[in-house]
Amino acid sequence: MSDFKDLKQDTLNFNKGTFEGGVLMEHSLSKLKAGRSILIDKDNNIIAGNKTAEVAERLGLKLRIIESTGDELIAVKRIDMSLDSKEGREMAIADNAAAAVNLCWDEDNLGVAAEQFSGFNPPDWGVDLDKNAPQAKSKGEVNVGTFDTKQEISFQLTPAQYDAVIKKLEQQDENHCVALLKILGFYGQA
Amino acid sequence: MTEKQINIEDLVQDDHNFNRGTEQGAKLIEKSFQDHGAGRSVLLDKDNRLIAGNKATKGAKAAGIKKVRVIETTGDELIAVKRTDISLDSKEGREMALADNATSQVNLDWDTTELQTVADQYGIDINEYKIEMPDVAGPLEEQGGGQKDDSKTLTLVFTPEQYSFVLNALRKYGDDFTNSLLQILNINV
Repeated sequence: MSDFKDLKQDTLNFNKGTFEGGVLMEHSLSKLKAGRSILIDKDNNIIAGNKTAEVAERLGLKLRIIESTGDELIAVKRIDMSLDSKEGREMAIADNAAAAVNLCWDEDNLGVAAEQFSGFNPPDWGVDLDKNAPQAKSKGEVNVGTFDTKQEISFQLTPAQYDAVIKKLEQQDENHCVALLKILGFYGQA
Repeated sequence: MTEKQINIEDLVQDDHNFNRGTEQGAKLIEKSFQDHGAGRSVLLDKDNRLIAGNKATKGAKAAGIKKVRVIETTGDELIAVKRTDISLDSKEGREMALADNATSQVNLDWDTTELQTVADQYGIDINEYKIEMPDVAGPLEEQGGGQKDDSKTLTLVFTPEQYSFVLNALRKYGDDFTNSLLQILNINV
């Protein structure tokens, strides 16, 4: 058995993560326990799964390291779980959803890596820094993080609710975002 | 807990996969396996059915990987696959880090029909997983009892710091953010 203290978080992580993604990972790990593995390098630096490791340690999970040279696929088998169960199906949802919701590219770190490592080219992997992220977002299926680091919250309202909300917000400020932040006390706390 | 080696052909694809995947995603997954070998694990249930990593398994097969090392767990421990031949501080290591996030993003195409069917069957609350489902008239709307067709969307854009602050505030009133907003603003219409 290994210790989480042996793992090193990536100081040049390309994914900033999102608050909502962190909450979702914590929810998933506490409800369904551990699923897929994380990935570390020969010196125990985390290549993939920085946030997962952080949350797993906080929740008191143990850590097991499996060594590999990448020529075989590793499969974590949950011997206590059937895919045809509520837990199994939720795990399948959570795996995709947590990755999508938690993704917020760190353009600066991607740029540093591109300068540091010859031939490291994000567009080769479908990550186009010039286009930002709207292609992923325009699918309208998962609210993933965007490259410009702005994040949205949407509210579905009836017409009457919508009018009442706008009226309340505009009593505070004509900018609706600023208005809500004022109401919630953001500026008093900042 | 034991380790076993099996053939990749022994893994069973999920017949209700919620992720249709994309053509570009499949290419990137295969490229990742070809360029760098296997990274993170896939996830199996007790009968070797794929819970997560259906597309990764296809990509691995296409890249010529034949063997699967199975690590049995009950979820009380996090498994870390350690690539003893790779340093994070190398082009290869950095590409693996990039590929892990990028392939997840590019390859995700929710099959919302399948998702809704299975969610209904098992009583899963999709909202817990922040998946935006398309607006489809449900039984309530078909009976004329719903207001969904007339609904209006208010979208607010924040900086990450503001976003975290607002989400925290909304969550104090529950997981339905629209209801939370209405409570915060004391609106009851």
